Amino acid sequence: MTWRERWALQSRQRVRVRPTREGWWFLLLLGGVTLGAFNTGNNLLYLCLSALLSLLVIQNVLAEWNLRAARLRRRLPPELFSFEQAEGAYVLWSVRPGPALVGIRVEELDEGGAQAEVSVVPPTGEVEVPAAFTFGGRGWQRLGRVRVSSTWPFGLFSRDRHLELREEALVFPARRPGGAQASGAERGVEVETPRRRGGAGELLGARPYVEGDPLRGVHWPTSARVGRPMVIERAGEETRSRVVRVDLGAPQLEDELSRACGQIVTALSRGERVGLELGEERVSPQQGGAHRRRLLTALALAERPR
Amino acid sequence: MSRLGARFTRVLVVVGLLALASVDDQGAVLAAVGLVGVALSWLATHPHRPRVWAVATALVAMFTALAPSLMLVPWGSVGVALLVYLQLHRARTGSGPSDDRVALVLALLMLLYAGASRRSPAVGLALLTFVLLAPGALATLELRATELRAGDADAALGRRGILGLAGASTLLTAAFFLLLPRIDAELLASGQGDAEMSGFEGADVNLGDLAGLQGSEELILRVRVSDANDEPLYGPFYLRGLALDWFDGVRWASSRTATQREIVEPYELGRRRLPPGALRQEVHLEPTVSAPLFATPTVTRVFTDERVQVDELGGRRFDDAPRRRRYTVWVDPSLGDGAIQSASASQGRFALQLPSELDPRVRALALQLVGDAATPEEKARRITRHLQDTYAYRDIPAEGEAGQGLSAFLFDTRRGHCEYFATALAVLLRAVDVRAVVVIGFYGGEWNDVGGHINVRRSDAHAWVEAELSPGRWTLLDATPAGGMNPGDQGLLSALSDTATAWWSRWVLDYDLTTQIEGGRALANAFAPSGDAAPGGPAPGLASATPILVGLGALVLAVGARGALYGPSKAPRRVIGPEERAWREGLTLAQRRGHDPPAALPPVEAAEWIVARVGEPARPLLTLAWLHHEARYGPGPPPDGASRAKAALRALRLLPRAVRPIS
Repeated sequence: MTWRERWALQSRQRVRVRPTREGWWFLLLLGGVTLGAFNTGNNLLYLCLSALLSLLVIQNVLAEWNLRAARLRRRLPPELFSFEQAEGAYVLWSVRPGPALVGIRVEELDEGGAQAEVSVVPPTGEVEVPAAFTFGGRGWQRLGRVRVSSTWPFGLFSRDRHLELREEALVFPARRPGGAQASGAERGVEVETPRRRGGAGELLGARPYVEGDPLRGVHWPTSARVGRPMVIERAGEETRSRVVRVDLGAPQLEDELSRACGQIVTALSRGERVGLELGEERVSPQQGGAHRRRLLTALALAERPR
Repeated sequence: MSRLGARFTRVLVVVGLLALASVDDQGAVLAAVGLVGVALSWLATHPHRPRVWAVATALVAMFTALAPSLMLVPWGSVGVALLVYLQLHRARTGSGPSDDRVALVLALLMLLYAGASRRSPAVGLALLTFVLLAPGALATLELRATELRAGDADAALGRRGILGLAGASTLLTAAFFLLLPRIDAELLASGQGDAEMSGFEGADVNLGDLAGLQGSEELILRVRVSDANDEPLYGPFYLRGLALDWFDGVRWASSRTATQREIVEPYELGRRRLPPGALRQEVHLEPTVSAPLFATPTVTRVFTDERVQVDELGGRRFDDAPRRRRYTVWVDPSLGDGAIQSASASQGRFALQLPSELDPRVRALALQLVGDAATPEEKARRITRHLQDTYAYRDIPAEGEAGQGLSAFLFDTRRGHCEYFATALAVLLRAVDVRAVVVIGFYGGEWNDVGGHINVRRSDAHAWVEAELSPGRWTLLDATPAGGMNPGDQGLLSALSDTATAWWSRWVLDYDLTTQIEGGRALANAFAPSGDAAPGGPAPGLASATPILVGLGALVLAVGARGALYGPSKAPRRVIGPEERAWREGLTLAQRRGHDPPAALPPVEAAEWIVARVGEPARPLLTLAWLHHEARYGPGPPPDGASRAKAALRALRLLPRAVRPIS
């Protein structure tokens, strides 16, 4: 990067300096001492003024170095549902081999609503700081400016720098509970096809308990060992299969999508096979992580027919 | 870490209270109460009672609001009491970094109050402590506050960080102090609250007044007298102040009130070379109500940024409000040791006036003493010898001698201090028609061998006579017996302490716009072509520009020392993993075999650069680069990274050497 490009980049990164509460007191004191020194010519007041000015300079220079060396990237959560907090992270590192970065605060300015703070970022290492992302809509959401701020080193001024971190995140619809009666599928047809998996009584595996599972299915010894409720699946049990239908012409489409999303997530986590009828698009019932993502992506990108 | 910040804060709180104690008795009492209270608060382990503090705060607020108007307590005292209370309150109830910051601000306010009220080196020491410790304290407090907010690992600023901050803060403070232009705007009330009387505040001096001055050891001025080679001279010197020609038997006054503005120069550019035989006198004068310009005769040039009035008797006074002053004069001793130059002083009855009710014995004594002496010189010599041989010097008057008249001194007690000897000499000379005036000033002082200057105190106040012994030529005569005024030397420790105080006065208290301009001009002069030098020629070296150079140097050092400024000491060192080590080995191997990629390329791109030129044999290097990349930027070290790196390194040994083109 040439110095011109560097200069252009830095000029685009707007820097704002705001006094903190202590900073306002500091400025008031500085003003008083300046007036006193210039009025009286008392050199001890000039000495005090010089000390305060040196603090001001050090504060601003160190704060600028601190922010200028800071780099970050987002680590978005694997799944994002609208109106639901999901834990992602910011990865911070320093491009300067010298001093560590101190007291860095990160905040999303456009979408995502995440914020995080870290006390020290070592000179040559990375620090991952957890941050909760929340989006207010489904579909592709654009993440943009991030405010990186710090009050280091004296806490008198908060220095902000806005960084452009353009990125798009796919946000699934909000998850809403929806049983057979209340689900969006009520409007369509929910097809259930009992299937047998094999010989009766044969152990297929264990999976985490999800809301709606019968309590008798919980295998308590396994739950105690794992530390959370686990459900045992045995061969011979019926594997339910369902197709969730969503009418794209429905007046409350977002509600329909949210309920469908809740149904799909719950059913898949119970081990059911789930399909989707979304307008003209049909996905046959299946299981698995890729299938889940395919269904949720379809819901996230669904549009009312024109 | 947090303990370090708290310790620094506590030190600064104590320093602030001690500075307050140095101001006056009232400040000392309040500071003592504050120190005890703060110490008890830090030692106490039982929980504080918020209600008690709430009641106390309400009472203090009420006192602050009402005391100045109802009890007529000065605002300054109320403010100081409030500061001490707030510091106590913080020491007892504060717990977080924000409270410690408030404690620091309160300590600074105390230092400010002390600095505005008293200008001793102790206050300077307290300010230096603040400059050294406050940045470290603030930074550790901020780090602690950040940790509390972020809730993550403990980190420390470290010794290097603390020292870096202290150094940068000190250098910048010095730079600002030396380079900030000194403006004495006096927009509001003048800040000169420390004017003190030197004993020369009025135009009149009563017989016996000087005894009051001589009882005090208070410093009046420091003077450095040097010759043309800049060698300091230790004297003793007669520092002339006021000349008085009118005597009514009790009081000396000046009949020549007409004064004119002395032509002065604002600064002595580049310490010009003195004319042969001349002396340079650099004087630092403590504040006086109406300050004479003290100098030995005969003044030829005055360098000061203030207005100076000169009268017909050669007496000079500063025209402005009382303040600390620094001035330089050039004197030429070859012009005579009397300073009266006015031609009108040799006309009429000037300096021949005698009190209307003069004791006839005085005139008779004068005639008896001069006898058959024909010349004024001989008359003066005989009278002076008589006074020196017959009368005894006593600086502190005994019972019955205080306020004695001239006749009592001459004929009864025959003891007195210098003012009696000078008065007697002047009156006796006038009685035999020799013009004479009494001069009041200082003589002697303490020679400081370390600083090369003379300290003049009140006790060095002296009176002598200037008489016209030949037409138009006035001569200094001192009838006080030898041993009456004893110039002395300072001991080593005393001289060191005095030199430090003088340095403090010169470079901190008296540092002014004149010094800055002088320094700037000297600096400009040094870089100017030789033909443009100021008349008189600058002295060799850049002595006058020292403060400007030091200020600029401090600024450059502060900017240049950025690498050592700060850095949390617990920041983990980056451990070089096996993948990175293998990549470095592989790259070194490739470079040794002549495949040297551009230095700016990152590892993967560098490996691709080599593969593009060498082909398949270099592919293990790409493997090493990706392993390094994964280890550095991936979620964790790659599985079997070490063994894969080892295998790739082994395969890389088959890398062929680069073919060098035949030149």
